[in-house]
Order: sequence, then C-alpha cells, then structure tokens
Amino acid sequence: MKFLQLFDFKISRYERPNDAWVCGRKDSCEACPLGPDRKGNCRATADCRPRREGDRWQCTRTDTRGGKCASGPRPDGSCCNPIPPCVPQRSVRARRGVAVLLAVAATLGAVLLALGLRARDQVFNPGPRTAHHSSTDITCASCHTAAQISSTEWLEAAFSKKNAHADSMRCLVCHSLGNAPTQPHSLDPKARALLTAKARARPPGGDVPLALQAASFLGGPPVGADGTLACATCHREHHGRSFDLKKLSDASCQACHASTFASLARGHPQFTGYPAERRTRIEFDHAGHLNKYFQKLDQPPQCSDCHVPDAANRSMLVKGFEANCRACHLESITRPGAKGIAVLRIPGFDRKFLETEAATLGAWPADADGDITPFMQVLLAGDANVAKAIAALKGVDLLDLSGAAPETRAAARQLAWGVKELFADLIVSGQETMKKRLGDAPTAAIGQLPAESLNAFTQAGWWPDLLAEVAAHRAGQKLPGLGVAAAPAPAPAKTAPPPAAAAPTAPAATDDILDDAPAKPAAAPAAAPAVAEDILGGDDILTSDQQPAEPAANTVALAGAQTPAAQPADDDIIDDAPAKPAPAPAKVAAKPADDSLGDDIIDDQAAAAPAKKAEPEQARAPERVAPEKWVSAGGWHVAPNDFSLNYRATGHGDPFLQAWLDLGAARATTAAAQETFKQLGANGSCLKCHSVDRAAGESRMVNWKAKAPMPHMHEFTKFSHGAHYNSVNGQSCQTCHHLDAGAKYTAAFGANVNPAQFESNFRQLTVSDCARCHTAKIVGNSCQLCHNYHVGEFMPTKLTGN
Amino acid sequence: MAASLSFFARRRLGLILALVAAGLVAWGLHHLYGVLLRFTAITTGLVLLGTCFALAFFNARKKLPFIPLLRASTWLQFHVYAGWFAVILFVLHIEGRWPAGIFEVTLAAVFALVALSGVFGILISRVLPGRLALSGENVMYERIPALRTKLQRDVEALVWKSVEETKSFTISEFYTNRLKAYFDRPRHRYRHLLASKVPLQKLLSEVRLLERYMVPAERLILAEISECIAAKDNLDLQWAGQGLLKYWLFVHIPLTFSLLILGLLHGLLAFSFAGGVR
Repeated sequence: MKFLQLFDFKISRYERPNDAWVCGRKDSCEACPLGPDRKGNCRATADCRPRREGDRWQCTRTDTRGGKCASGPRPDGSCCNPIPPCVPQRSVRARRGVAVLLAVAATLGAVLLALGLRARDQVFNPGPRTAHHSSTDITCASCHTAAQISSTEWLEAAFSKKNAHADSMRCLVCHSLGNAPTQPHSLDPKARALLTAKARARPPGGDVPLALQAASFLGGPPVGADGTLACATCHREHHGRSFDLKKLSDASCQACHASTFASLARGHPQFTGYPAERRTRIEFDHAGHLNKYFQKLDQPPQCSDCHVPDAANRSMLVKGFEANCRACHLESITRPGAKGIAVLRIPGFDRKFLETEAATLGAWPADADGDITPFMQVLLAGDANVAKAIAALKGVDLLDLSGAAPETRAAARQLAWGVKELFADLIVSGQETMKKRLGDAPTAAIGQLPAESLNAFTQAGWWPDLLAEVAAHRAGQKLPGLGVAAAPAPAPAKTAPPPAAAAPTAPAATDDILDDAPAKPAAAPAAAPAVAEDILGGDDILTSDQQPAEPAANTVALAGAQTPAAQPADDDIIDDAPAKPAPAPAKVAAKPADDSLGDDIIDDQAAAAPAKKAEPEQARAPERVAPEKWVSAGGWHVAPNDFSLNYRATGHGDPFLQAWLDLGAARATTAAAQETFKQLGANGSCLKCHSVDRAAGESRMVNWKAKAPMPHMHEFTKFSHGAHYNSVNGQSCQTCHHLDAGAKYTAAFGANVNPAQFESNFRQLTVSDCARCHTAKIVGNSCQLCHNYHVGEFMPTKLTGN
Repeated sequence: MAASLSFFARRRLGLILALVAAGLVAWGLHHLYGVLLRFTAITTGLVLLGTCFALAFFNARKKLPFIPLLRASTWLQFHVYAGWFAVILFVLHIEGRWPAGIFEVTLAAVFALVALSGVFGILISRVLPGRLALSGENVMYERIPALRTKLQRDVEALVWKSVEETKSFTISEFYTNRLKAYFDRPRHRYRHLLASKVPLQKLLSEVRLLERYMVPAERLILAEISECIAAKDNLDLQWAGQGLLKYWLFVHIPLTFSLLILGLLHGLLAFSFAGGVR
C-alpha cells in the first residue's frame, strides 16, 4: 500500500481548516506558507524573507519549502524565488457560512416580500376553512382583528391583552348568542352561578375519569378575568372544509363542571323535570281523557291521532284545536244560547244620586244597573282622573250611594262623566278613539267596532243629548237643560233593531226615509215622548211649539231640555219624521219586548192593526230573533236590558277576544290591572284551556298555542323523536312516556300563573331509560349527543360575513 | 446486565429511555391541556421553538470553544436526542395533520428537512468514519487535492520512465487513454459512498490484462502504477466520505436558520391571530 501523507515537523504542514481562506494553489501542492489573510488577500511574496547578518543576506526558507536555496538572496536582500500571487479560495467552513448567510437572506427576503404582497392573507392563511366559513365574503379581517393592522403592528398585537376578545366579537357579527355571548354556555353569570350551586348540591357522581383528575392539577380552562371564554377556545378553524368545529371531548365538557362523572350510565346526574319542565300550555288532562272520556269511544285514540312530528322530525306537536278538540268542545264555545260579552255598558248608579246630580250629570238611564266592563276599565285607564275615581270607588256599591261621603259622590260623578265622554268620543270618532285609548294595542282589539251600535245609545233614549252634554261639560258650561226626565225602560227594546243592524252583516235600510231617523239622533230625544202617539211622526205641533216633552219614564234627564239639535225642528214633515225616533219606543212599549222590528213604522202599523182588529187569521210578520241570536256567527249587538253593547265570539280563536286578553295580560303589571285581566278572562271560555303564565314585570301571558318548536331557542338538552322512532320500532310511545294517573295535573292551572309549579300527566324519564340504549358501543353516549353548549334564544346565523 | 454494557451503550440506552419518558410527558401534558381546552398548539409551539433554538446553539457552542460549557460530545448527545424530542413536539404541535397553508407548509417542510438532514447526519456519522478508517490510508480532507496532484505527478513520472527505459509506448498509451482521466479528478463518488469496489477492480483487471504483453521492466513500473491506482481509489473514497460528512451540514445548518426565522414569524402570527386564546 502506498502511503501519501508523510507526517514530520519538517515536511508536514499544519492544516487550519477553520481559516476562512485557503491558498489558491493549494490543490497543486504549491501553496505558499503564509496563506491568504483573513480578508482573502494573497500574502504571497517569496519563498523566504532573507535575514541580514552583517553585510550579507541569508536565506531563511523553511525545510517544508525545501530548505535554504542554493542561489541565496539577491544583493538587495530580496528572495530569489518569488512566489506568484494566487486567487485565494474560501475554505469549506467559510463556504458553509456563506450558505447560512444566503439562506438567512433568502428567508428574510421571502418573508418581507410575502408581508408586502397584496396576497399576504393568502400566503399566511394557515389552511382551508370549514365549508360554513368558506364564503368568499368572509375574509381574514372578518374574523381576525390582526388582519386589519399592518405587519409591523403584529408584535404589539401578539402581546396585547386589550384586544383579547376582539376576535370573538367578530364572530358575533354573524353568530347571535344572546346577551352574554362570551360567557360560558352564553349564560348570564348569575344564572350560571345558580346552576353551579345546584350542581354542587348534588351528590358526587363518582368514577371521575383519570384524565379529569390529572387535569385538575393543571388548573382550569382559559377563562378570562371577567369570566369570559374566547370563541376560539373551543372552535378552531383552518383545519379543512369538513372539520367539525363544534366537536368536544366528553372530558373537555366536564373540565369546567362542578360535578363530574364517567359516562351516562356511570354517574350522570339524575334528570330533574325531564322532559316536562313546565306545565303544558294548553290544559289537557291526558289521564282524564284517556281513562274517562276516550273510554266511551269505540276505538281509543292513539298518540299519533293528536300528535304529529314537526318538520324537522324532532319534536312532537299537538295537531291543534280543529283536529283534536273541535269535535267535543266547539259547542261550549259557540253554543246558541251564548249572549256574548258586554264590552261597553252604561253602568248603573243610585237613582237618587242621579236625580240629585241631574243638573251636573245630565241624562242617565235610571234602570241601568250593570257594572263597568273590564273593557271599559282599560279604555278609561288612560284618563288619570277617571282611573283615580275607579280606584276610589272600588268596593262601593254604585247603586246605593245614599250614605256615601262627598268624596265618593264626587268620584261617582267623575266616573259617570268619564263613561259619558268615552261613549261620546266613540260615537264621534269611532274606532280612532279606540286606537287612541288603547295605545299600541293590536288592531284586532278594536274588533271592527260598528258605528250603528254606538248610535243606539243615543237613539234608544238612554243618552239622548249625550254629545251636547259632553260638549257643554268639556267647555265648562251649563248643561243644556234642567230637571229630571225619565225615559221608558222598554225604549231600548224598541230601538233594538238598530242594534241588530249593528251587526257587521245587518241590513241597513238606507233607502227608507223613516230609517233616516237615526241620522239625526240628537234632534229628537227630548221630544220623543211628545210624539210617542204619533204614528207618522209628522204632527210635530208640540215640538214646533216648543212644548216640553215628557221625559222618558226611566231616564233621568234635564226636564224640558231641548237639545240644540232639536231646536231646528222645522215644518218639514219628511225631515221631521225621522227627527223623532222616540215614537218608536212608544210604540214598542205596546209590543212584545223582543220585537226588534219596531223601528219600521209601516211594520208597526201593520203589526198594530191585527192587534186592534184581533184577527188571528191574518198572517203576522215574522218576528225578528233576539239580537244575540241574530249574531249567532259572531259580532256586535246591543243588549237593551243590560244597556250594553255586546260582542259574541266568532268561534275558537276569535281575534277580538284574543287581542283583548293579550292586551289585558300584557298590561297586568299592577294588582288593579291584574284584576281587570281576571275579569276579562272571566268573559268567555278561553282561559278554561289556555293557561296564563307570569311574564316579565309581573305581567301575564296567555298561552294560545301548545308547545311548538322554537328554532331560535337552544336549550341544554336536545332530543329528536325522529331519531328514536327506529329504536322503538314496533313499540309505542309508552316505551318512554308512562302515564301517571295519580298526578294532580289540573291543580296546576286556574289561578296559578307559575308554569313551573305543576304535576305532569307522565312520569319523569330517568337516566336509566336512556342509558339502556345510549352506551359508548351502541348508539353513543357523548355529551354533545344530547346537550347543546350555547343556550338561550339565538337568531339564525347571517349568511354573509360583513 | 447493565454492567456488561459498554459506556456508550449504557449512555445510549439511558438517553433513549429519557427521550421516551420526555415524549410521554409531553404527550400527556398535551392531552391534559387539551382536556382543559387550553390552546395546546401555543404551548407545544413555544416549547418546540425553544427546543429549536437550544439545538441551534450547538453550532454556536462549537464556535465558542473557550467557554467551559460542557464537552462538545455531551452537546452532540444533547443535540441528537433533543432533536428527536423536537420531532415528537412537532407531531404533537400539528396534531397529526399536515398543514395546508402556503406559509405553514413551508415551515413544516423546512422543519422536516432540518430533521431529516439531522437524522441523515447521525446515520452517516455512525457509518462512514468506521468505513473510512478501515479502507486504507487516512488522509486529511484538506490535503486530498494536493495529494491527488502529487499522485498524478508520480504516475506520470513512472510513465515517462517506462518510455525511457523500455522504449515501449504501451504504458504511456494506456495512461493516456485510460488512466489520465482517472487521476485528473475525483472519480466514482457515489460508488464509494455505497462502498463499491467495482470501479477499482475493473481498472486493475485492465492493468492485469495489459501486464501479459509487457517485458519485466514494464511490469515493475506497471506494478507501481497499480499501487498508485489503489491509492487514488482510497483518496477518492476519503474525498467522497469526508466530503459528505462535511457537506450535509450545508443543508442542515442553513435550513436551521431559516427554520428559526420562519418559526419566530409563525409564533408572532399565532399570538396575533389566536383570538385571545392562550
């Protein structure tokens, strides 16, 4: 073997691989002994640097270069073997250093270039977003605050805490999560604290997973100082289009929880009030119906006869009144005998009070003996003085004011004028008055109030001078007339026809001259008695002579008063005749009280003739049915004996009554208003089935509908009936829903307005009911299978990011 | 049993066990912090970046020999096993999913290249030195070009000698046609890295074929030339082996600096865009 290297201090050079530069002729075995300097400059001059000894120059060439040369230095002391200069080369190590510098420069250059590019976002995008967030409208800045600042500001943003949740706020631009969106579970801290306290009160579940026990030593989830959680704590984006942003491990779900457990079957807290967390909105006693009423049927109904899955196949809905209840319960709502509900009524006052106050109160039907309706209470509530009077008169019998204190009498006076003004406003302005007095109430609360019905209150002789009296009262003037007059009580019976005509579909004989009388209601009332015997009403001698008319027998009125409208009674027969509606009552007095056709003079004559002639064989005109029967399909009618304007429901779901109950419920924030609502509810049969809940501010809320899916409402527990149909294939709903016949279901209704106080018709579900199937190996038992994280009422996510 | 192991074996076993333990601890903490909904990518990323800086400090340590910071071999052991730990952290950091963004892919690719080049460096550091030591004369890498030149000059002198002494051009023609290219530059680098002796044997067989036509004087010269051929083959092997041992760092070290720069920027981006999660 041939050896190439000879190691000897005289012939072997010392290698310095760490030097940055090496001789350019190194590869040709002619490297100079000095080598390049640190900057890469060749330092080669000659083989040696001769040394002067006395007057001679001595060669100093080393042995490695061949030792002293034969020729020796030149006379001038220079070496005779000059070394030609070379181009030094970098050593391997130096070249590696250059490679490092190049790599650093290239990396920095690429980074700076990328930061300055317009496509910076694309370069630094860490990965594709989920399909939900892949809209082109969603940019980096839609979700990241840092995307809106310059690259130089990132350093500050990285360590700044002021924008810690700024990105979460951007999530909420599209994702509505209620009033506490960044709080755990989107729950108000107080509500969460209650749940936590409740959870701590439960016995420990046991079998806490080892991971949870170990994790507890490392602290807790990254909750901010204000108790908030950033959205990105759970939702990590940029992991691909199909990444599940909502997926959490069961251990993570329990990381925050006060009580932890191993699985659904091992330690899960027992259900409390599930699935029934409140009483049903519609009072329907399953036990009573199934065990009592349905037993009479040939074939007992199935659950699916009344319940149907919703569109999402998640919840079971009640089919509704028409399908479920109508067959048995419609009659109780629209039975023929129903008289309807008094909406407007002339309240009764002590007759003596009316007589003594006649000068200040004007006319008032002394036979009226009803109370103020709850509808009127609502309508009068806008007038503070009247409302005060109503409050002062609470518990006072208005029909006996004999021993009443002056203040009570004053309140009664105030109330009487309030009622009169209400009626006058309604007659003059009609539905506008309702709108004004009801404020923001729905239009349905007006109930298409007809003008004809209101006119009846003046035409019937109850308040013949109502408008003039109210005008004088408001102007602070004396009332137009003095004294007390009485109008016959039956008068309303005679004027019943106008009320009947008040029904929305009632025929109005507008082409009948005699029927024009109602067009001038104020013209005749005072004179009405005087012409009571005048069939045609044309012999207005008495009225034209300004003779004081006999007051209506049962109406306290200003004696001898002539209303301004009555004064112009002229000699125009045609006009006069209708100007005296009073004859009709006088005639009606001789007729059956239930004859509602008495306003037709011709008819009256025809009716009177047989009576006089007593010719039974002569055909009688058909008798008009009672007003309440006339509107059997629903509508307005005057109840003469009650001095009231009544409303009869059109059937189930009548919008007028529904609107008034909603109105009364919403305004029932005070004890008085709640009493009014109670009185409203006492009318009709709505609240026999529809429960009333306490709402915000102690107001009330009527549950018109059974439980319906609320897409915006997210509760802690979610359940899909559809997903379970297959599981209970061949079995019935009773697999999970066991009837509890002993439960006091109906006790939770009536006066109770707290829906949480109830006893369900069905036994509660237990954890074991679910755990039979829900195991890790069969259908899964992860937390998220049955539970939502964010709870509350949320609007759907917007479709666009900006 | 442990006593029967050599120091190096015991050290390797101990370090492997320590690496496994550290990896399990890292995985466990990563899992537990994940349970607590902590942003584990931030934690693993910070540790990973710190580990990379610590690994890179090994290069600085070599340039600061005057500072008494443990022995270089100790640093190398730390570098090797900390590098493996960094790979574990990297897998935890990316949570088993290869990133998709341009910048993220670049960063991951650079890390992968650094890691793979490191693994390659370990492998050749374990294999090549032994092979080079056993192959023949051990020469210094820096001297190989000069030795090759010297060897070539020696061969050319022998060729001239053969012409002058034997008046025959057989050897000179063989040199001109076959050996000159062989001696001019390093040859068969990859064959040498694969420990292949085929090129040498092939050339020597050609020499042996030529030998039968020569007179004894020529055979003596040709025998010396054959020795030079073998020496040149050893030089080429040393050149290839030692060159690889030096030049793999041309990938590992520059990419490490790129990795550190990109890693810092990645950390800055992560903190800025993390949405307040730490």
